[in-house]
Amino acid sequence: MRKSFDVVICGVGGQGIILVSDLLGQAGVLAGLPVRGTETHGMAQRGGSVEAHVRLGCVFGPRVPAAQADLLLALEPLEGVRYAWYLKPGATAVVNTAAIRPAGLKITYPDLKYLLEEIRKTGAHLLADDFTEQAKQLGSVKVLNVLMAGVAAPFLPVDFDTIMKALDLTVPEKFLSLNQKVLLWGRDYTRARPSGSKMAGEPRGSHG
Amino acid sequence: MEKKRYLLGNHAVAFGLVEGGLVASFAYPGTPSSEITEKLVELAGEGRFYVEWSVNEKVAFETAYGVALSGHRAAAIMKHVGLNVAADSLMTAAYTGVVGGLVVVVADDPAVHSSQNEQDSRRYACFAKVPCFEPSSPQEALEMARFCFSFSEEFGLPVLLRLVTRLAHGKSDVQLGGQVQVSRIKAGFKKDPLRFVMVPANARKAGQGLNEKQQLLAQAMEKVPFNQFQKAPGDTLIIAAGLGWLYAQEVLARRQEAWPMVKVATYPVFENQLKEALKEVRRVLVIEEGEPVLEEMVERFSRKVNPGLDIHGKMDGCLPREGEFSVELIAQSLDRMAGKPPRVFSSSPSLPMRPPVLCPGCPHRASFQLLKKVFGQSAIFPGDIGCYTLGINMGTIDTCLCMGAGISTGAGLARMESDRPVVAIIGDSTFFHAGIPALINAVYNEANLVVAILDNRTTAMTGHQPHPGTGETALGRKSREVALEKICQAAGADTVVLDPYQVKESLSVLEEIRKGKGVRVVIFRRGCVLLEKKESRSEIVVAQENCRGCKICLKSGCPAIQWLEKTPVITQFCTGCGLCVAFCPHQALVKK
Repeated sequence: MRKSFDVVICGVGGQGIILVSDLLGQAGVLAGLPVRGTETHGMAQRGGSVEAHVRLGCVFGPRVPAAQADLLLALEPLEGVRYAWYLKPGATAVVNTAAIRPAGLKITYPDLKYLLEEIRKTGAHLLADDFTEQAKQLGSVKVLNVLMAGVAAPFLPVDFDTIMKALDLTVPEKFLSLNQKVLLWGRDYTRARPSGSKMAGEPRGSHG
Repeated sequence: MEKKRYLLGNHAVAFGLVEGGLVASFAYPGTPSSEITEKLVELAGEGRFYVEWSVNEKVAFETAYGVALSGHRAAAIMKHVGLNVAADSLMTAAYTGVVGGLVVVVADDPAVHSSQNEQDSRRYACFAKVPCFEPSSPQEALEMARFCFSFSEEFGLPVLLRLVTRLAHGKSDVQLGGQVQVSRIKAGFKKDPLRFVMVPANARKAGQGLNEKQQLLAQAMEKVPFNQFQKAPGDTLIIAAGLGWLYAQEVLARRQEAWPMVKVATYPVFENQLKEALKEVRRVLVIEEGEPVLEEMVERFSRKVNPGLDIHGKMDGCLPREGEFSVELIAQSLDRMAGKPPRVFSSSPSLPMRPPVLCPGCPHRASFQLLKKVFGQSAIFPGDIGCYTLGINMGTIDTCLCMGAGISTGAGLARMESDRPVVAIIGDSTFFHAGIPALINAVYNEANLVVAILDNRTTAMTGHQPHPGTGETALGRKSREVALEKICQAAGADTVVLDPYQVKESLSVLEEIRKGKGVRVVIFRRGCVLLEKKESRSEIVVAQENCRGCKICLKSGCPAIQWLEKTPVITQFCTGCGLCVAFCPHQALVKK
């Protein structure tokens, strides 16, 4: 049995997680892969903790099993840790370091260093940065989701061009050009990482 | 052939209903079922079929039933607890039967992602003695939805299509493009009082007829395409339903093992084949989400065909009784059955929770702060179902039972707690759904309580569906707007309408209401912030010099206010609603 490429996307309700899950899934289908996935709808979308799964090349159920994810895409660092148990050793974790503090009088938000260390402990290769700031600079916080999909793109078993095509199907036309821009930016960000960096989970191929 | 698409399970169901020749569809929104109707609205196009958001599930079911009596194909779509509301109609609709195909799509919520309980709709199918289909993938959901109409017409019975959250909100590549089916039933309502008028004499006969149909149904299920046998050597049989089938397949594929397996996708079950399979094995593992429906049947069948059969599942603790399944849980159950200690999977370290909260700028937050301030600590707030249930975090939701229960629970509490104010909280859509009879009862029987209707002009929690108060239909047509205040006044309740963002005015009106007696309705009217126009938003700034660090601004739980050492910080999420400005006692928050 060939194992599927399993992706877990997580963050806070309202960050556009469903859109990323849709984008990656659509891209997989365009590439001719069987794809399974699952999303959070309803109550948790109101600023709660949100997760989505996309299983590229999968013919089984919608949920990624524990310690089987090849890629974690965390749009928020605390949420990244919450779902880090999905990661298998040697997988890649793309983590946004911009924190969104849970509302509440008594909540202390953990230290970022601790959070990133917890993710590293799973044996995954960590690619962490303030992608919120990048999205802001490129046009809007709203496109953080697609920007991070771009950062993750070189690790996926799907051509970048196909992901770009899937973007057409996923994003409303009036926002398309900004989304295309940040998707490209994300891909180039990962590609430009110095060779010999600690990313053992090397991006696949160098084409498109 | 059409290309494959990446579809939500619910969207696949919508396509299946359309391919099945749907003529009209009726639903009340409810997670995890709402996206089916939203997709149907999109597909309805130029009047290909009719789609409606109904006022509640009972009305939705009965209207669909009416369509089916006229010989057309209809669907009623709801979440599992919605079927409780429609149950009265369903039970007897099974007696009269239907003419055109009637499919009831019910989405269960194992693990209670967004509900009040995790009841299993297959029990309702058994209870009402109607057939039930349960898919294990979005593709199968599409095919079943298409198939159910003709099956319903063949047996003249409503058919249940049971989904679970992970299927409804699961996704998969789905093949579309099946030929749209056409019913062979001659359209037009034919009078048949012996069949359609359930007076006792007719009901007795109809009940007998329904019982007689059961054997035929079970026989038909031996031949429907969805059940599946997978032969393999071995003395342990896996019987799986729904997603359990796929989880088990994945575990075995990973272990490179093949076991004999049966997929049960239809009820009543295909008894003969199942009994044959039970004869040949020593052990059985039953995998099903929800209640041990199949497991109980297997136990019953085995008494006749294999009394020594070793049965594992939910009842012996091999699998958990509550919640939803996963690949890990199925793997653990196989370990347990083999007498091995189940493999333990790591989980996340202890982290701050991030429960859902009311959005920044949500008008409900304003209504809650006003009510808390006026009615005080001793007040009791019986609540209801909607975004505003999140008022639990502010101490302004003390009960939540089911749709419409807040007002009647409040009337009961008020009768016993005469020295405490009772303020029932209900949303606009929920009020139309089930609040009206409770309000009428409270007025008629002279209850002493305040009813706060939080009117945000939409059904917000489930994705902003219209309702009678919005004056717009599912298909986007302008309709007659039903005014909440007129209904309340007609019921005989003193009624006022307030804008919760007009804090001063609201406080003085509420103060008068507090002093009053009888049933007093306050309608807090302010549109959901997610639907409001964003251009005119004002900016809130912190006047550091005035802040005394009292943290009153944090008590509203607004996610746009964060505390940094000694003063609040207003974050990018602020919508400029100004509620914090109105409640800050030291003018430390200012509208710019």
